[in-house]
Amino acid sequence: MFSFVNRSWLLSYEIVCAFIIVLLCLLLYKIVRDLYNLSDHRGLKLFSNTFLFLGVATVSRLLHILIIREYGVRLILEYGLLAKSGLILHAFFSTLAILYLFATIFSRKFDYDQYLWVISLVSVLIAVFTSSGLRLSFINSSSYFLILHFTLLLVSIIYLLRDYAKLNRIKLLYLAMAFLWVAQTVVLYFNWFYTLRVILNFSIVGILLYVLYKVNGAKK
Amino acid sequence: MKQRRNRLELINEILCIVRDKQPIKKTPLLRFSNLSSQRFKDYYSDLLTKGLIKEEDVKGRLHIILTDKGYKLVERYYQIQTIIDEFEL
Repeated sequence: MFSFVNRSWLLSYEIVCAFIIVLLCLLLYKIVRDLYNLSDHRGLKLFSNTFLFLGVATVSRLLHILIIREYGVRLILEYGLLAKSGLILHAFFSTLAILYLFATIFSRKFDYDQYLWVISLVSVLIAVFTSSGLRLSFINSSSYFLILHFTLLLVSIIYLLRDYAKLNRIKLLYLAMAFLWVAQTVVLYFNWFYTLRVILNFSIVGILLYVLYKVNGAKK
Repeated sequence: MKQRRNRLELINEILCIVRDKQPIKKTPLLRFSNLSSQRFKDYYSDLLTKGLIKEEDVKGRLHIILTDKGYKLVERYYQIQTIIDEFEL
């Protein structure tokens, strides 16, 4: 579909999208965090952290894309961990973001948010220590993240769909956010269709704009 | 039957009473808030700790007034409650 668009254009497009995503995430984080500071409501804290880590994960994702573009996969093997830092940071923060989204969905039942950092860190350490320098970058070991992300997505889907009659816009929004985030990670790790990444970015921007509209529209 | 008030709702109600009747003493505040003395005590110390209200000594008597943070919470209560309900937090 986008064959007429060359890769440089797509990269610029992706940089712009990433910039918008980060901006929206930080804006949402700031608004919701301010409300949390006033009310001390746990759900607001989890919700704000989701956007913070989505933003940070987007920055690290862009860093990885630029490193890959600059050095190529072959050089990543030579530079080792340093060159993989973008991917490692992305793995850590995107896992944290999806864990916080999961905790937000379950905020009325789930009270273990202090362990989310530990889960994310352990996942990254497992992936780093099991990835051999001879392997193609991080991809083989990143299956840990994908398993973790898919499990969280599946549990969320089952939880949100268990009572079909009560399925509302917000539950669908959470599902779409989780799905898009996991899809984006899959596409990045396996370096799939460049254009698909841009489409996913646009979908994420759309969802963030909708959340921002809802959060701002809540004013009296 | 009226639904049980949630924590945030109660905090907002106490703050609104303080705002409308300040400077108010502790006993009338307890009466207006419709809470048991034990629950009121918990909420009261919580509000003081979070800096939403403060105690002032007026002619040797303790009065309660709203802080800037307290005013902000009352002002933004509707937005907070709407977001909590809307996003099922």
